[in-house]
This record gives sequence, structure tokens and C-alpha cells, in this order.
Amino acid sequence: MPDENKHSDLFRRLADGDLAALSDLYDEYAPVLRGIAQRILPLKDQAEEVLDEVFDKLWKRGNRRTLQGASSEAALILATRSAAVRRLRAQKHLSPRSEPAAGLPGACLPGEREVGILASRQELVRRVLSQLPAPQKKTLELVLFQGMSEEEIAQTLNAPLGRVKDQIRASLSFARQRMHTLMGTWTAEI
Amino acid sequence: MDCRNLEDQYAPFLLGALSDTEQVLIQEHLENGCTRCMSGIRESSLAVCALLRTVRPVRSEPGQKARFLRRLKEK
Repeated sequence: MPDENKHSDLFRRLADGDLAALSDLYDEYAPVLRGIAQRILPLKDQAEEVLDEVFDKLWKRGNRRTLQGASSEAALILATRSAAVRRLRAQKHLSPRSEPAAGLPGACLPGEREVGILASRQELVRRVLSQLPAPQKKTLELVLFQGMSEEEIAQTLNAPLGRVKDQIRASLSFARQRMHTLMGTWTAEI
Repeated sequence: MDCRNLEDQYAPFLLGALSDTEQVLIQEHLENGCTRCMSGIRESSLAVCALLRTVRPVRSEPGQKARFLRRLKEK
């Protein structure tokens, strides 16, 4: 589990303009964020550009969100996904989508402790994902990693919009409920 | 807006998957400070983060961080 005090200290130093703190945060978070960016974007260089963009913004913004008690890791993960999706859609000449997750106020973000617990249970979360029926998993991946809207997915899969909406909502609701269970037990029978 | 049935729309909203009209309606509703919906969004954002975090981490290319920090100093 991430060391909450260590993170708080790093973000305090970041807010004071300490470049060494940014360097330490880069070491800590870059592998996770790069993995997400590379999952979305086809070329490594593009993923690196996204990473630079995310850390550049973090440097300029300091620790505003952390001061509100929210998880900085969650904010960085959501910002990385949004930045990567924005680039992917631009490459495909698709119109930009609303990306509210990238600018959530601290009150709408999970806390450090919750994110830390989930980070320590990644294999269980992967098992949750593997339990999804194939059509739900497919639509979920198109939303998460291709940044497609429900309408775009319906067109891509040549499926009725209502069915696509149901699949997306069912998969995300399933994930949310299972995460809730995961948060409450160390030996969840997933 | 009656938000009692919005629960299963929070995560698609966060990911920008809803129609433009639905995205705007929920955004405006949140900006009005609905605590019930903010709590739901918080729970959904945790689930979305957990799903994104299932992607395996990837190590940096050698020198990537140094190049980034150098560019930052030069700005």
C-alpha cells in the first residue's frame, strides 16, 4: 500500500516548487501512467508525450487537489486516460468528447487510502474484469481505452444503441459493486 | 433534475460515453452541488481508476525522466 505520509510530504514539497519532489513522484507514478497511455495510444512516443503533458500540468498545478484530501494517484490516472484519449480521437479525426474525469473536484475523487487498498489488490480486480461476459468486456474496453461514446460503439459494432447502453452500464455497475466489496474484505471471494 | 436513477450513469459520464446532452445535464447538476451525486461520482471514479489500473505498468525508456526534467527547467 502506498505510504500516505510519504506522498503527502512529496506533494507539499511539490507545492513549494521542489523539482526533486516531482522527480520522486515521476519514479512512483510514471510506470502505471505509461502503461495506461500505451494501452490507449499505438506508438510509444505518443504515450511518452502524454506522460510529459500530465507531469507538466502536475508541476504547474502543485498540490491543490491533495489539499482537499483526494487521491493524487487517482487524479493522475484519470488525467492520463483523458489526455491519451484526446490524442487518439484527434488522430482518428473524431470530435473531442467531454472528459469530466480529468477535472473532477477533490470531493468527487476517491481518497488515498481507498486507492491504496485497490492498488494492493490488483489481481483481484483483474479477476473481476475476467468475470464479465465477452460482449460487456468488449464494450467496456471500447469506452475505457478507445474513448468511444455509446453511440459510436453502437455504430462500430453495428448493434442497437439500447443494447450497447445496457452492456456499458451493466459492466460498469458490476465493476463498481465488486470494488465496493473488495474495499471491505482482504480475502474477497471474487 | 431527478437524480434518483442516475446511479448507473455516473461511470459512463466520467468516461465521456454519454450523449452530449446527457453529459451536459449531469455536469450542470453536479455544479449545483448535489451531494448524493457527488458521492456516487466519487465511488464510480474509484471503480474507473481500479479498472484503468489493471493495465500492467511499463518501465520508462532510459533517459526519459531526465529529458522531461531538463525541458521543464528550460521553460
